[in-house]
Amino acid sequence: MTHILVVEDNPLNMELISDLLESYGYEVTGANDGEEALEIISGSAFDLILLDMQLPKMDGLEVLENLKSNPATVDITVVALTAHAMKGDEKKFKEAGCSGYIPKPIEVHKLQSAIAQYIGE
Amino acid sequence: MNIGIKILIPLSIFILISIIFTFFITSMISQNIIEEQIYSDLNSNVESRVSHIETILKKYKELTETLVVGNSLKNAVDDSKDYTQRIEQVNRRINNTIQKNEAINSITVLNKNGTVIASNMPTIGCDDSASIIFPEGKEHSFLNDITICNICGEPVITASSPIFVDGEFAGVCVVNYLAAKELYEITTDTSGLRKTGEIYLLNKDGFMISPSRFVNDTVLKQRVDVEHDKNNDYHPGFVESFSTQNYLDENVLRIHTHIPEMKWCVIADVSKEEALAPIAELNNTIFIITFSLIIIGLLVSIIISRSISGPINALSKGVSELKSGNLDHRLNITTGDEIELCANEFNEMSDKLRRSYSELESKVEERTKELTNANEMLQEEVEKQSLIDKKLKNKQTMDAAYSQLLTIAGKTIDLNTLLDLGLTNLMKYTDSPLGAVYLFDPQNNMLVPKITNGAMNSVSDRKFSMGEGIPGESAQRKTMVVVTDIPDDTIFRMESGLCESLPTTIVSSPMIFKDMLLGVIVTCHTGNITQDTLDFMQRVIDQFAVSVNNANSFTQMQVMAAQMKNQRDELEIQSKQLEIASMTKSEFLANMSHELRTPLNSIIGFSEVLHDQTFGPVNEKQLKYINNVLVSGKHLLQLINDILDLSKVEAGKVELFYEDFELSRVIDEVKTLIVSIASKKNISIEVNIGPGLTVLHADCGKFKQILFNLLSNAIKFSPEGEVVTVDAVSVKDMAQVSVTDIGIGISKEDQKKLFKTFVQIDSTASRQYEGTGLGLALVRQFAQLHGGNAWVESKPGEGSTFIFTIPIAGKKNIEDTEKNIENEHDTKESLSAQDPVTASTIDEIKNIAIPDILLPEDSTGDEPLILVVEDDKNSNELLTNALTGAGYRTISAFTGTEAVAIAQKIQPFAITLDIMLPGIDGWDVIKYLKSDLLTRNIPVIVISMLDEKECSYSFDIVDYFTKPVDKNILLSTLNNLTDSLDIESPKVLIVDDEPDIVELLASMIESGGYGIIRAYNGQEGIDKALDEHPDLMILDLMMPVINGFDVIKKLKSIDDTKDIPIIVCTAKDLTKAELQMLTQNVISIMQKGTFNTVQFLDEIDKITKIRRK
Repeated sequence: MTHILVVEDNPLNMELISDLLESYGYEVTGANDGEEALEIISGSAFDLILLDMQLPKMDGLEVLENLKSNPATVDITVVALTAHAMKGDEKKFKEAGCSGYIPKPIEVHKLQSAIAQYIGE
Repeated sequence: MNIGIKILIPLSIFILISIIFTFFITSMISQNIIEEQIYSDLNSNVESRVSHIETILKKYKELTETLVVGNSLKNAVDDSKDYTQRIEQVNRRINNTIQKNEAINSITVLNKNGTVIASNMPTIGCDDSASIIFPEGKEHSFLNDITICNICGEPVITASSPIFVDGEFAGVCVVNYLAAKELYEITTDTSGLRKTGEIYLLNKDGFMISPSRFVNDTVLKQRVDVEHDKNNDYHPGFVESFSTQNYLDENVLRIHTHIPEMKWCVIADVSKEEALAPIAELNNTIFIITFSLIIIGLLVSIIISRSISGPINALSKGVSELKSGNLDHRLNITTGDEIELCANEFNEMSDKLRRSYSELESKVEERTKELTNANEMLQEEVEKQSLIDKKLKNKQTMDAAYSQLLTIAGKTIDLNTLLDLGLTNLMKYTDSPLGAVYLFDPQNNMLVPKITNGAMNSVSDRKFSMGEGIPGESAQRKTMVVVTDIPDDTIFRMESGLCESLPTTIVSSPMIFKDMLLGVIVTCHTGNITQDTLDFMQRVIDQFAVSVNNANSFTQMQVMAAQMKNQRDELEIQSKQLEIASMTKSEFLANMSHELRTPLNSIIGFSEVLHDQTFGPVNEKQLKYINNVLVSGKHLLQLINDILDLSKVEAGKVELFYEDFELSRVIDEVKTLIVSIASKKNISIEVNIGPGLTVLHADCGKFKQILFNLLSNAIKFSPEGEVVTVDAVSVKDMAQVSVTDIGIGISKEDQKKLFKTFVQIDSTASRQYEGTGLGLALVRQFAQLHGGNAWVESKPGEGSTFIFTIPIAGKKNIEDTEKNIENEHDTKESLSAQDPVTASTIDEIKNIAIPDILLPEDSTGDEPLILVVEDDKNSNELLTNALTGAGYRTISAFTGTEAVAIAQKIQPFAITLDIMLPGIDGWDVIKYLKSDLLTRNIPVIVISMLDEKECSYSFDIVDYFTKPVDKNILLSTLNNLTDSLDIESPKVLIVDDEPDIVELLASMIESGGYGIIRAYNGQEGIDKALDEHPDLMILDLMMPVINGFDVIKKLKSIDDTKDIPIIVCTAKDLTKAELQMLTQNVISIMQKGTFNTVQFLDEIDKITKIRRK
């Protein structure tokens, strides 16, 4: 089963995404901030990481850097979750190593296909 | 004046006068004496004659009387006697008598009838009764005045006497005497009259009755004027003597007397000349003597004067000789008197003079020599001085020229004019035919010709670089250069007619100002230049430099001023744009407020409904999800509210709404609100209020917001089971409220970030508690708006105290409150820009179809019907559901027009109204509803999406009337109200600033059994409402100082009075804004988003209770 890590500090958002993903048949683990995420990653294998770019303590970009500089995690697909949706952002995230981004608020109906796409890669 | 004359004239005059005077006196006196003598002689002459005449007259009378007593006459007139005999007898007598008396001319006897019976004249039988004799002679003897006898033509005097026979009047005897015989003899006697005297008689009429001595035929013909007897007195003894002129115009001396009996004047005239003849002789003698005396006198005078004036003349002559310089002249006077003495003195003096003169002459010669020398020396000096003068004049001319140039410099600020005039004048004063002014161009380091005068084109076209040519050299050296060795190729040539000539001297002077080169002035001269002229030029040019500098500065200033003006214009445009932007911003804010909340309403509302499982059960998961939605929705709402608040604050759009509120009460309210959150963590809230802090005058809502925020923060960061304290004290004129928690505390670093927007210290914690990070920023903003502040005191690990201050009395007063109202009006007016009800709308209204009425469950069909007016379908559905769920019937309208139509047609029990409607907006709907008899009584609940965070609401039925008020309508409204309130004899408080209106209203309703309380201004209205607790109020909106709105607001904020129903009276239609004002305070306002069904239904219930009773 595909294992997805959702890094999201807002519990409601976390719940929504987790439930949805689970309903799609994925296995979901949640982390509330960057530190926790890295900890979890070091312990498990994930097929996809959904990363909220605006996290307390460790910023999303930092996490990303971490992941990409760690040979163990460099290959994991990371998709950014962001409410920013400003012009420069997409570029920034892509350069930092994201494979793509999902804007917030999440379009529930489109989520499944988007995730599938990223899993497929 | 000649001394001789001086003596002569007075002397002669004196002599003359004396002699003449004497002469006249003598003459006069002698004349008088002689006259007297003559008068006296004449007088005695006249006297004797007069008595003689009188004797004669008497004789005549007696004769006549004698006759009449004779028988003959008696018989004559006696008719009884024989006629012939008596006649004969009488005739005889007559003849006898005549013979005896020569003087008698005629004797006539008249009978008693006046007829002549006997006469010696042939007049027998004549009737003489008429003549004066007869009547006069009847009585007594009568002497008639002298008349001319008509028979003989001679003057006669007539005597008559009456004849009495036997005692009876029988006739008259008339005897005519010839005057000439005896009378005239007397008068014409010339004795004593010498040659020229005469005596004559005048009768009473002034005619001569005796002949004149000199003139023939004067009797009864010559009239003589005797003025001196105008009285006609003829009294005896009258005698006058005087000098006059006689009838011959000769001067006479006259004696004038009368014979009174006959009324005759007796005049005796003597020729004055004759009379005074002796005098004349005397006079002549005297005259001769006088004359001789005069001559002698004159001669004597002359001699005397001569004797005096002669020597004096000689003296005088001597003096004048002396005066003319003839010192040798000597006087020879031997008169033996003082004059001789004087002359001698004079001679001596002359001697002396002559001597001293010659001395003097020699002295003078000496002096003259000396003077001549001195004079020569002086001349030399003068020549020297005139040379110096010339030099001075030159200098003065220069100075004048200099000051003229200064004047030009002072008057002109324009560079060109300055240079032009300056150069011209300079050239004039230095006698230069050619001049040029160069200005220094610092950018290119060149001297550029600006002005030329008398020069050829070659000059005005030629620029010089520094050091080049004469101008360049002087510019570089910064000093005046004078060239006398003119190069042949110089451009400075003078053109004169056909030929060109070179100047003899060229002077080039730089214009230096504060060591800065401004330019160069070049002048060419054809003669020699003196150092003075050069000095002059230098001074002038120095001054020029200053002026040129000024002119330059001025030009710069002008440029700058123009720039500034441009900038200012731009700024104006910008500020106008900003204004527009700001306005737009307010509208934007308001719109955004609405737009953002509308969907939220659905999100929150429907979620709630689902959560309540009103329409069916939901499973656990579903419930969780719904809750998520609800929580997120509410969070979002809070965010939106905060953002909008903050935006408003930052845009300066927040207005403080001041009112008086009790501090303890408000703190309790907030405590109540927060208690639910607090109890979840088992946190208790302790409140301490310091002494003297009771009432605050501030924006109550904002205060609560601040406190709420701080409390919720405190609870957030307090550990479980702890206490959060609220302390309120008064510090000077501020109320200081502190919220203290025993939490984790805040580091100094973090403290700095605290009150900033969107910065949160611990995002995890705040996320958990759904903070937004806006709260503290708002807290501070609100506090500062009041004039207070907000800050924190904290140490990490020791908890935190958040403190804010608010002025107790508030910065503003009632006027500002009014301003607030105005501002609110403005803001809100701009929001609702829709049209009021128009005619077309009215038509529309008529044509609207009534939608279905929705019934509650198990409806009996007569539950109260509520009209729900709301354009948003979802919101409408929400409301409707809530209402039918509570057991009301509902009917929906989606536009204002629909609302009015439905209200009119079915008259619902109550109306809920959204203000923001398309077409006619909510305010217009209210207005329309209230103005229509059919609908005015339906209670209206306004549900507003406008930014009102008022948590408190009151609910009353409000009507408004327009003056003049219809009594019946007023009474019916009141009755409705009071019926529902179930009061026996209700008290009504009438508040209006026009006493007449108060009385009018009172009189209208007294008959309805209402007790009246009167108030004449807002304050009185408030006071009386508090004191007397009226059951109803009729309130005028427009009052000075405290108006109706204020009163409502005030009363609504006080527990005692907030429930008093108010009927508003106004003289004009309320504007939308005013209505809004009204309804805000008076009609329930509920906010979508914090929509609480329960509360809402409660409100509806209230109406029911009121109405139903």
